[in-house]
Parts: sequence; C-alpha cells; structure tokens
Amino acid sequence: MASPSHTRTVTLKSCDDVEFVLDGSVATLSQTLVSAMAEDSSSSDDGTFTWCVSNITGEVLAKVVEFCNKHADISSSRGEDLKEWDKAFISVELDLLYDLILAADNLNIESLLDLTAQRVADEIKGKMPHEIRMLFNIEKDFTDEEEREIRREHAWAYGGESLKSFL
Amino acid sequence: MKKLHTEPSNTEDIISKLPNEILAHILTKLPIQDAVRTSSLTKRWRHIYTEMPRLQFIMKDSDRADWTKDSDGSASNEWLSIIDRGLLKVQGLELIPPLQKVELTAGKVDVLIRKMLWPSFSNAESGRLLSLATHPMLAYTAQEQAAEEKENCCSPRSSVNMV
Repeated sequence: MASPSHTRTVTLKSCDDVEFVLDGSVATLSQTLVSAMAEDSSSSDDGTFTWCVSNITGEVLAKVVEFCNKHADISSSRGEDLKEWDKAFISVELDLLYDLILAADNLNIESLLDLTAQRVADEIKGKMPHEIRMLFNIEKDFTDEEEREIRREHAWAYGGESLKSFL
Repeated sequence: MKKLHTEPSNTEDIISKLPNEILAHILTKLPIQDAVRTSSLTKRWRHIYTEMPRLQFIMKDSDRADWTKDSDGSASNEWLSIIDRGLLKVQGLELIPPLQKVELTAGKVDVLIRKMLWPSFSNAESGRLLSLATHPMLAYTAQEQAAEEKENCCSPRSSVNMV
C-alpha cells in the first residue's frame, strides 16, 4: 500500500536555486526526505513538498535525481541491466564523485552512498600508500621513520593481495 | 568498475576532508589488507580503519583450492585454523565499536565453523553482537552460539534458586 509520501510530489531545490520535481515514490529513496515529509503536515492538502538541499549545486543534484529516477523505476531495476547502468553512471571525475558522496550522505540515500563508496574503494584497492597519495593528492605528513614504524605494526597488510599474506 | 584516468581538475586533497564515517564506510568495501594499509597514508588516516562497521575477509578461489582439502567441500581443519588466525589478527587491530559484522567471502562452511575463535571474538565486549556472513549464505551470530551451548551443555546445571 502506498504511504502518504508515495502520493506526494517533491520539489528539490539546490543551493544555487535549481529546482527538480520528483514523484513521491522516487523521493522515498532518500531517508532524509522521508523523515522530513513525515514531520511535515502543513502541505498535505495540495500534495506538494519542497526541500532545500544546502551545499549541493544544481549540477550535482541533477545527477542525484537521475540516479533516484532510475533506481525507483521498478521496470528497469533488474540485476545486470541496473549494474551496467550504475557502472556508467559512476564513471565520473573525482571532483564530481566527492560531491555525489556528500549529496548521498546529506540526503541519506543508501544505494547511492554504497555505489560512490565502492567507486572510491575500487580506486584504492591493490594500491600501496604512495600510489594512493599520488592519486588523491594526499600529502604525507609522517616522517619516513614514522611511516616505517606504522608499516611494521601491520606488516602483513603490505604483503600483497592474497589472504595468505594477512595470515 | 571502470577506471578513471582523467587527472583531477585541481591538486587539492578532497578525499581527506570527507567525514570519518564516510571514509570508514569506503574502507568497508575493501579487503582488510587494503583497509589497514590506509593507516600509513597520513595522520588523518591513521585510525580511520578502526572505525569500520564491517570487515571483509576475501578468500580467493586459488587460495581455497589449497586450503580446503576435503573433497566434499566441507571446511577442513586447516581451513578453520586459518580463519582462527585471521580472527586473532582482527582482535589485534583493536577496532572500536560499532563493529557489527564480519563478512567472510569463501566457499562452503559447515558446522565446524563453530569450533573457531568466533564465540570468544564475538563476546569480547558485552553487548557486542557480531554476525559472520559467508557465501553461500550462512549467518551465524554470537547469540545463536550461546543458545546452542546452553542446549548442548555437557554438564547440566543443577537448578539453583537464588532469592
């Protein structure tokens, strides 16, 4: 049965005043919106609900809305197809990726947070610290001696990918 | 997932500015070695891995071929002792709560898994309940372990009434 939030229309407004209109069923992917709608009783008469998303630009919010529309569409949400779609969707530059992570966190959209986190993890996977630093512009603030000491602490973690090195 | 080869548009370290919670979430998507390695990146990253709510052990097929000797695919003692050693290592990591789940991606695991360190690991801190998920699906929680031990207790407790 449809909950009240399914039947409403939601207007999302970015920090730079770009508006997106979503079906209530799409908006329910966002736990933040679900909670906000549950608390809000004033607009239940006309069935619309407006939510301003601070710190998220229209460009980023457009991607978020695209993601939610796709994932709420049950006819398209089938296994391999959706996986392929997600893969293409998340092939973005790192800057946009960070913005998507923050937006997913802000709006509490679990599936988007998972997808973005997985994408960052895929970049880190199999790399040694100096490679990760280079990729993400991370500046080392350890002395060489400090770094050696930390590595000694968990030497097994630097032995390669196999679990055997871990054990 | 497709690798991205474009250079970041600036030279700023944005990833390190993400909240701890998100960074720890990212690390849960990695094999445990990769997650722990991030501790030597910078001071900012030093203890992020200890905040992971979940851990992943991944045993590759090639590894499993060596470790699982039994032809029926059930877990061999050798394999179990390896998992035990793994859990000891995890204890040595001094992860802080809320660690809720340890995922073990491996082959068939039979009831022998109950002989592992798992119970002591799970009960290490009061109120901490971990579940061990394997693939194919087997979820085994510390509570179930406790319940079973009660049932199969070899020296039945005499009933004592305390007032």
